[in-house]
Amino acid sequence: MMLKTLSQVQSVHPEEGEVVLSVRNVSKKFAKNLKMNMFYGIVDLARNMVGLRSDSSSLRKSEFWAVNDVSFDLKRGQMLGLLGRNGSGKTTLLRLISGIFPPDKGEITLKGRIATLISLGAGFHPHMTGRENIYLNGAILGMTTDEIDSSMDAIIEFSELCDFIDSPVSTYSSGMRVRLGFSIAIAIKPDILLLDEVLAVGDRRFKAKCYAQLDKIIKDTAVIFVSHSIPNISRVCTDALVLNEGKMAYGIGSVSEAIDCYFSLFPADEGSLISTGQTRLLDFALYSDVEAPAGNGRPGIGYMGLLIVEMKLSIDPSVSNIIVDVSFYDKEFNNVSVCESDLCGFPVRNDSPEIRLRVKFLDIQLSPGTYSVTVTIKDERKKLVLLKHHNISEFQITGGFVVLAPFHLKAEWSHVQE
Amino acid sequence: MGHTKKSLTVYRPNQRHDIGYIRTWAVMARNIISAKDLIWQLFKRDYFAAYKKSFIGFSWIVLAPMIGILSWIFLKQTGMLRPGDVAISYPAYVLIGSSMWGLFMGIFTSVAQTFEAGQVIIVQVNFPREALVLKQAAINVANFFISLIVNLAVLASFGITPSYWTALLPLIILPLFFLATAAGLIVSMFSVVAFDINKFVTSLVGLLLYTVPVIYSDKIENPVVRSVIKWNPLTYLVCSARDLVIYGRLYDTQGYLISSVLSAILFIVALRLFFVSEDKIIERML
Repeated sequence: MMLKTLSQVQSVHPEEGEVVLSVRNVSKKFAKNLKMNMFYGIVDLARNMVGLRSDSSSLRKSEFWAVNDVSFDLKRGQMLGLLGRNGSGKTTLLRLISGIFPPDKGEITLKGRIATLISLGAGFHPHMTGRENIYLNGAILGMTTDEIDSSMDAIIEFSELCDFIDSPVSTYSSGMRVRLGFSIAIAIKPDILLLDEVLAVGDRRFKAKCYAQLDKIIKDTAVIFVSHSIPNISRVCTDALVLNEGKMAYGIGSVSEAIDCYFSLFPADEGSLISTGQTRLLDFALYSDVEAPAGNGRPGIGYMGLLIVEMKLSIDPSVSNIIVDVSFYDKEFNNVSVCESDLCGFPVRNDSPEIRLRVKFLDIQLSPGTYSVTVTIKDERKKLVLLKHHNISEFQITGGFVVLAPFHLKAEWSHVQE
Repeated sequence: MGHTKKSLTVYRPNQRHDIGYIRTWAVMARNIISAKDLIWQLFKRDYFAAYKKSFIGFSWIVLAPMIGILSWIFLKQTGMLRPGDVAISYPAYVLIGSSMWGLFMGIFTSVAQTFEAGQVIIVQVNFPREALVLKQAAINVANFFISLIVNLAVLASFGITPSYWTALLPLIILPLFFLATAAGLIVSMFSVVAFDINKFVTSLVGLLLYTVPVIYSDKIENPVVRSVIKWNPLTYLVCSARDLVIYGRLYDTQGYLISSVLSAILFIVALRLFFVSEDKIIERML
């Protein structure tokens, strides 16, 4: 909004599919070191004072590219999920697009109005009422008083704060503030909407309402959505982009492939072991179809293939009634499946110093992706966990297709004859 | 869908350096006009909401400087301060003089905190940041005129009728406004980068009070003080505003004019620096 004055005003039809945001080879650098940051700040200011500009295209000592050569276009109707680990440059990119600070290289072109929700309710004053804060927040987001007046009822209604709208915001719960903030932001009717982790707060029902509202406005709006919640990204986004150390690790494209790329950025997690000492897991191995040890790394198992788990245990002779369970976890640490020895009708005998077990998983229907294995050994009578080894190993399901759900179930399909 | 106008916005490195000095003003003026609702909302927030958790509320605007003046009167009464011949009643002299000084100091300290005060929203939303500068200054100008009304009444109670030239005061304090805003802006930009600068300058500016004949007369005998007074542009700006109210004349017309021109030049330079640097400064706020 601020640089509108630098722009030409054009007449265009706001039609679906029109490119409203174009990011071209954009880079932004920051200094790693606070003192260097101060020093460069003073140098740049002093140069500006005498009318010189600072060369922003190369790195000085202790500077790094927080956003590095990012390019993409976004059209109305697209909702772009921006993925990346902490510190990968997501928020910096949003700030560049919203014009909070300028790029050091490249160019960003926006068509129409932009609303940024890096944090909901930026500038809410606690002692002012909800209604007064709507005027304030609306003005900060670039609305005129007339526009706010005409959207006031809609904002209050959407926020569901009818009885509280004339109470000071300091009396609101955090959920109520988020409701108010989001309601104001969507009232702007932006052409481009930037959302940074803002829907993480707020209760389930209000979140559902927000998503429903996003579905409504998406026709006329291009949205960039930053979230660490993969289910949220996969639910609402039409496209995705992965940033890693400022660079595009996955160019704008399919959401499921982007999620795959995002997960591949994380190194294999260290396993963790909890044990009472009565039990030891001496050996553990995963085999695929070919019945050969998979070796180091993640064994690859074809979708609907065979997965064999072998382990060697040593359990204190005093313990009987042992249950062993093998669980699989996805990359988000959701427990996607479990297999318990007793539920499979298999009694684990504790009659030798070393117990060797083999578990065969037939026709494995897990969706392609990476999974980790957790082994738990329990004493059934005492309802006691003797050992729990998290993430003892990982494996990969390969299948040549990508779905977002953890399972693709085998099924028989047929046409029903009349 | 109708045929609507959509503006095209482009962000590039060093974009604002490409805009000439003259166009800077046009762009800034347009930014300020487009942000007039925002300025009013921010002003309302900071001005009216500031006193919401206070029993006597706005009375503080008048009361706070008066309490300050009491200490000067005390120092004079006890003989610790010998202000020289001030021609009128000393409390009246200090009251009006320090209200002009307070306008300068108020605008300066407040504008020096432009970025600090707006930090929460600055790093989250893009809006014309000129709005923050104007809001910071406007709060002090509003305070000044409110307290001026009370001060004039107090002056009358001392038997001094304010000159009818007082009507020109808004014009006469303009250079004071320029100087305070310019100095404040420069400090605000540097203090984002290094907090020491704000700390240092704010403490130093407090001392400036003693270089202006506000709490003492310019007929003071110390030759060092006399020459400091003479070379300090603030003397002419602050004392002209005071003398306009009390005597209906400027303190020193030539000195006032020279100081006014200097203030205006500094104002232009500071605003241009703000214009080309503000977005680069904001990235240092993270």
